[in-house]
Amino acid sequence: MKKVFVFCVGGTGIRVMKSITMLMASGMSTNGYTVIPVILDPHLDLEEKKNLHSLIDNYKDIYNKTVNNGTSTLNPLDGFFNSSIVTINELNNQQNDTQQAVGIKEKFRSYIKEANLSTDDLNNFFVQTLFSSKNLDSPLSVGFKGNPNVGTVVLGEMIEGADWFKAFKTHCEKDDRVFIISSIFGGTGASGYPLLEKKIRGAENEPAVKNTIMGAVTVLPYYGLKDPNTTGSDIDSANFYTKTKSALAYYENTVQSDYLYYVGEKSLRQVYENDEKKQEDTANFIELVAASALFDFLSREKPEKRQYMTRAIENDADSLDLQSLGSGYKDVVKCVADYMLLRALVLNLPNEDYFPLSQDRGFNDDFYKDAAFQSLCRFTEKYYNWYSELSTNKRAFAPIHYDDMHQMNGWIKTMQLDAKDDSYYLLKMLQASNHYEQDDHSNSFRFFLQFAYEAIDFFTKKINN
Amino acid sequence: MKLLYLYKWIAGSMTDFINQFKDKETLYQQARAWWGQLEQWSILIVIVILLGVLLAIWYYKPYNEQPGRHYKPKYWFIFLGITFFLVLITTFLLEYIVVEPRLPGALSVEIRIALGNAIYATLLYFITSFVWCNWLPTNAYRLLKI
Repeated sequence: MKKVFVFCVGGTGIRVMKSITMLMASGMSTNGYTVIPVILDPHLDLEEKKNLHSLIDNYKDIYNKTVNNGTSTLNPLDGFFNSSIVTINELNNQQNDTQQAVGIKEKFRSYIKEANLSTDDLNNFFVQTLFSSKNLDSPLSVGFKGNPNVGTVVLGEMIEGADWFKAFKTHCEKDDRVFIISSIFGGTGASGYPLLEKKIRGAENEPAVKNTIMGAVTVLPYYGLKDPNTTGSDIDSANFYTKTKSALAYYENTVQSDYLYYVGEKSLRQVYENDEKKQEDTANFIELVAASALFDFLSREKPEKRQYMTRAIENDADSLDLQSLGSGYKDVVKCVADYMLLRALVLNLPNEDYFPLSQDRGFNDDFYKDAAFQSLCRFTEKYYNWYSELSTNKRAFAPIHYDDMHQMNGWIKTMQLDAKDDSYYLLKMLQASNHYEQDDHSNSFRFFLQFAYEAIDFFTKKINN
Repeated sequence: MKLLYLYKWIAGSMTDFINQFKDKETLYQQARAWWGQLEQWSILIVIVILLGVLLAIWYYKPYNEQPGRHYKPKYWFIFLGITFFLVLITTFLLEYIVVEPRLPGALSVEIRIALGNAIYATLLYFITSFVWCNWLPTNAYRLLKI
């Protein structure tokens, strides 16, 4: 099993991992790699982090149900849910979730044991120089509030002593890869990425870890936060660019990844609530672009020398469609269009009377009430919310029309599909079913996703042409 | 081979038909000739029944290879109706063209034979559907699956 350890550092890491999970569900290929997400955010009780854990569990549940054939295991599907996600705890045969426990409850002052320093101690003066009183009084349970100087100190120790890092070093083998996702303008991501990279490249006793092919995506500022004077927050997005510049200057001579992807916006188009406790930021196109970097990384060989990667869009539009995105995004658009079509089938088929596969493949009431299909429904609801957020954010990623089941040839904006309504997809599902022998396997849920993908792909593959 | 015997149950026999003219020799001979002529063409009349099979095949294969939720039973019933009326009309027109019903009661016989043919075709449509639903590949809902 080839593995890619995906380290998701900070809030941006979490949100990008969400987009990765969505793209994997929609059929984006990891090139045979099993994804091992490692979520690195000291922020305790962060709703986004819990939601990501729940999303990944949901994904895994669906994936496992597609490969389960009673006593045997089937190959992964082509299309939807084609790649496996395994948590680092599962890899380590660990029951307790060390990922949930990443976080510290004390204040930074107490964490560095500042009280142990006498007032005339040189180290005390050093601490006072490097950290403001706000830094020192900052509770670490809500992250590093955009302060990489705090993050560098805390994360360094957090990584070295962590069970997940030991597990990573134990399980990282030759041909495995590492991918690090972080933002450069905050606290956790900006400090976490170089630290983590240093720990990996410095693993002298584990050559597979030290020499692993490593990629990273660094997200440049892409959203602003409301004025801290009105919100009382400690984070001021006016400093994002200054922080970015200094971090980039540091990265220039220190980063050791084989591929480094830079993703960013031209300006801070979207302004979110400035609440570091909640961070209820909606899905953003930039996170989707960052997510696509993982798939690009997994399709590339080890380079001779470090590669710095970036990608552009065709037109600087507020709402992006296939044309304004440009040909480089065809695969992403196809994936999203495909899953939204799957959603249409998932919503409509349980109410579809006399659908022949209810007889031939057991897609009947019991099937639709079964845990596997219900799990797919839950995931699909999350997917829909994610896409809705993407399509209404600034800038909007909105390449599809999905609200009219009777005018589906306009499903992709700026392109006509041959399927005029959902009956075209239902027919293709039936035809796909006829190609499979009844005794290939006995997993109806797998058949459902197989037939649905074949039906959808038949019409949407022209996006890639 | 007297194929019109197949319609005796609905159209009566030749004897039934010609006996109504037994007191009028000319008409009796004309009725006999008319029936004989109809019997000559009876093979065509029977072939029309096969429209029931053709329409069932059309329903289960080409029609259900088209989008539009054609698998729903309502389309099967529509095809059933089409079979009935198509065979009824085709048979009647065929009879009318090959042997014009000029004798009293001849029109009624032709209509009843057409009706019988339509019933036979419907029966064939039903049997073909039963076979298809149980043993042959289709995209249609297998309404008659046992």
